[in-house]
Amino acid sequence: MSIVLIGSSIVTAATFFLIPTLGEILTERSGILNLGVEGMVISSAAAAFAVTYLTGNAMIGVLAGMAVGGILALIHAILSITFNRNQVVSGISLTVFGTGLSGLLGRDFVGRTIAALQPIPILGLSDIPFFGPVFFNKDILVYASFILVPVLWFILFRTRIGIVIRTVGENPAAAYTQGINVILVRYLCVILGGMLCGLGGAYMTVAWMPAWTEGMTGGRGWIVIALTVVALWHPITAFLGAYLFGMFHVLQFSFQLSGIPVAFINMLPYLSTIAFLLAWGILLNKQKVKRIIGAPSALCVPFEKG
Amino acid sequence: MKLRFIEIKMKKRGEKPTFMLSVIIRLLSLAMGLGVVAALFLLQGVNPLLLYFNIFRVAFFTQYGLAETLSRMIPLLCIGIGLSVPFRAKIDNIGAEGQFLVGAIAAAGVAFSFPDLPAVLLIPLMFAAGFALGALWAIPVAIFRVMGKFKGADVVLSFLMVFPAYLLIVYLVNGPWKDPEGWGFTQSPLFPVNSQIWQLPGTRIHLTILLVLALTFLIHYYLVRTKEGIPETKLGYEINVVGENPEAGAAAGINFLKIALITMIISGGMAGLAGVGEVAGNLLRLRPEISTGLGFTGIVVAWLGGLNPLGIILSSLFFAGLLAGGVEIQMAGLPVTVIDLFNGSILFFVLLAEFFMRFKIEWRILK
Repeated sequence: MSIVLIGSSIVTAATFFLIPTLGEILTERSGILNLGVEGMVISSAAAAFAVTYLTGNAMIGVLAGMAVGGILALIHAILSITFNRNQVVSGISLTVFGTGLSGLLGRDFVGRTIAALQPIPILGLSDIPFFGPVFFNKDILVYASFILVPVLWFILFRTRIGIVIRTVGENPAAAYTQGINVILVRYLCVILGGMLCGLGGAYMTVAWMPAWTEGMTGGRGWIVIALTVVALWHPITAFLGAYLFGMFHVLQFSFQLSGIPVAFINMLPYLSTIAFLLAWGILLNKQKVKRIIGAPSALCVPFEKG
Repeated sequence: MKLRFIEIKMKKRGEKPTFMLSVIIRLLSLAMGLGVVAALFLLQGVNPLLLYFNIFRVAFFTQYGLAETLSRMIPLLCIGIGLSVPFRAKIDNIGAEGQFLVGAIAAAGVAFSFPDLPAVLLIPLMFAAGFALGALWAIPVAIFRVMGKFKGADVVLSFLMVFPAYLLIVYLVNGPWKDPEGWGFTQSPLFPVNSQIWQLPGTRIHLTILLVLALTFLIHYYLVRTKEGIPETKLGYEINVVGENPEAGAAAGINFLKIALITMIISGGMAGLAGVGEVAGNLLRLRPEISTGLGFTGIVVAWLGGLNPLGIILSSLFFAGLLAGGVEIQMAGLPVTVIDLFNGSILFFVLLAEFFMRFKIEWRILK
């Protein structure tokens, strides 16, 4: 494999990790843990594929994927915000439900093909050696992920909206006494987060590997959740993390001729996720992290008014 | 909440709901979960009433189906009962699937290493190994739950441990334990005769069912049994306190790490036992796809059963029936994964039901 091709596949794989991670960051920053990423991603992947196949328009498929992600996230929002239920169990049921739903949505589309989103070379930039073909000759969703990172960073850390979201995630009671509608903020963050997961799922079937097979996400949604913690709920580190995991993902294919059993190579992304998660969870000084970039302290803690 | 014509209030219930009320609320949640799935089936052009009736008929009213239901119940009950223990202490173990898989690996390892041991020695040894490896797979989660700095990270860890377990089986059945006569199937050879658990002739109900029922009773007796609403054993009491109010538990000198370790060892170990029973009593081979999500269904089983042993026996019977009658789902032209729809949507409503056990809704019409 040429180095440009490897670089290009890393960007493709990383985009899939990046977009849902940004969604999960938004969700968790508001104090809600949504473990349903896998379910939202796979359902929206199926929905996006089905709608693209039926309409012939990939952008309508992408919108359908985002809608499915948002609707599924709404279920989690209702259970965990309005009814104050255990967020872990609610998230698990969302993952299980989404897996089942994807089977139903994709039932008639196994083995069909669609025209994938075409790369749009960016004039001027795409001619730069190496970087041009790797980063600037991609489809529109990859560019969207480039833009989403600074946008989310700006909203979270440089605007009043961001302060509101982070306060709700760190100290909902204080936010409430300041007259912030905690419930509304959390609802919006969870639903927007779900729509980003939907965008990630749509990216998978509409741009990355344009076909639908059952269980095609293969647990990558869980890597997204781990990545959110490893990135310390920050969009910029999430960008770096997603590219690192994209690299692991692509490298496992180039190791396949080396004689190491394939199963061990396939373990690489999961083992590295586990290693990072353990290292971060045990080594990092929480107080320091909190001072520098903040951490949603109220994550998983139900909020009851008054 | 105040709308224009109607005022809705949520009020905390003063006392715990009666046993009857909690059963009714749970059954109602089950019915609503089934209702949502029925609506989705209708959209797909499948008659849900007919399908439900067929699943029910096959699972409980045919000889083959009933045997299959009881056989499916063994791992579900074992996993569900085990999971209910950490759930009571608010430790969310969602990695039972992985603990189940390593239990199966342990069984195969012991069986292939000592094929000549007599069955009375070999089979207990396999169960012991399965329990140990399952527990070992769960211990990091317990430690991380107590020592880790970030909330929720332990839950993610418990899940991520599923993948290495699965891929380890993929490696083993493609490498050291590959079936030489497998015709390209990724599976291990048949388990040695001495390691096969006795089955009721003509069925796949294996003796593990007695072990599981005994353990269910033990867990009820030592951890759950209550007198006037308070657990009778010290450990059961401590688990409840940690689950309901961790600060109070710490103030009362309860060691959270100890409780986390005990509950997770029980849970991981029991998932491991389920894995041993499944490969040595039912499938008689190790394969990567031995589980088909039993670890997740176990979560639903535990919650639908109200984390209570008797309830879990009934809910495991229900989900076992669903798995056994699942052939009907495929006959109706739907993919197998739709079984997950039942699991997910029932769990949604069970969660909702938990809410209505603690709160009641009052409403009045405004003039």
